[in-house]
Amino acid sequence: MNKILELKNVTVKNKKFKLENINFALEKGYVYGLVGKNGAGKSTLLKSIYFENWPYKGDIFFSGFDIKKNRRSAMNKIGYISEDFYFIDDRSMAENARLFSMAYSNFDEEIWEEMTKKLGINLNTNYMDYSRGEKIKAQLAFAFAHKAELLIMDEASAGLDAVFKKEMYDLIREGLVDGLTVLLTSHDYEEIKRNTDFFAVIKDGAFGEFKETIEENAYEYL
Amino acid sequence: MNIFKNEEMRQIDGFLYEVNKDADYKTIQRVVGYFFSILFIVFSLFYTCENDLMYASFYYAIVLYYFGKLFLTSEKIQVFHKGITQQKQLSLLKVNRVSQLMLLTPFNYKNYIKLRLLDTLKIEICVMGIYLISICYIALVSNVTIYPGKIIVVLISQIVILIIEFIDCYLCWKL
Repeated sequence: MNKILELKNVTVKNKKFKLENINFALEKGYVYGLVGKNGAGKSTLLKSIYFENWPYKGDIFFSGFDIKKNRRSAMNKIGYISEDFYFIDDRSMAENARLFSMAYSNFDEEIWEEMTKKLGINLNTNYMDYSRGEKIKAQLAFAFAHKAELLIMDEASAGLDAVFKKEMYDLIREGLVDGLTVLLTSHDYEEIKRNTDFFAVIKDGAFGEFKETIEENAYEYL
Repeated sequence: MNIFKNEEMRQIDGFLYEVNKDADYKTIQRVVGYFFSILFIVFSLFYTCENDLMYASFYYAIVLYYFGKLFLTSEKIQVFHKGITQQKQLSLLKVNRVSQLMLLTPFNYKNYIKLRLLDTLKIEICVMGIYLISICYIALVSNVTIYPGKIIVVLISQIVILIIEFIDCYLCWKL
């Protein structure tokens, strides 16, 4: 099994919940979905994987290496797509890409130009003037440009129009062929059903296994 | 090439320079920074050479110096938004501190902390250099009494400022 992300006995908690002993491994080339009620801990779990200052107990491995000890090389290969993730507001997207590309060793200018053209992103517009959908598009293009191998998408599709949602998942499917892996959360049951290969339910502080089909009772967690 | 900075620290430095290079009030910020630092040196000299009247001035000196240090290094704290008021920045509730920006990049935050401590240390060395040269000069050309114990207190204050800087970085990381 070609594991890209592995969590071993991971515990994340905040004032509202505690998720204990999370164990799972993501194989390359698939879309994984997380299902759970609001406040179940989905976003916190994703943030603990990506952000250095979100505490967790246990071990998280990216491509077989401890993410804490090899954070920079791991972050170079992880794209985080979320409404919470932002570039600098009062800079154009072109300027943002120029600045942030300095932090990513794999950033490819050609892919960036190709993706922004494909997604119709106006690079001269300030980031704060983008609509929510345009922000997600820009993040997605940036993640592809720095050759992310794992996309973490936290409610990224919420509030997006159907045309862009389709465009987004088509892009992801194209990426899967090249070994991209996606871990996403969504409240849209149909979307999870249609677009993920495996999903797991977070329920009452327990993290279920990733499975290929959505159980009947999964509705109550959406 | 700075031998005290590792590869990633140099990259962070370059990144922060690019982020803030268009800041429109950098010059005035530097002038204010130097003004407070000079005030600190003057107050420290009074403190070191006076017997009992200027104890309170040392306290003010530390506070003023900390302001000076903040002004000199605040490009490491604030992401400048050209043409956007602070009020608007706050209403946007988006990235306006370098610490937040750092956490959105693959850069290791520890290297960012090291960079900030190194920058603080650089300023402290300059300020202490001027202070010690001034003390030596005063000792040579005048008959003013110099209290060595107070020189040590001034030097200890620099360590305190470094600790404050570290706590500031750590709190940014935690929050």
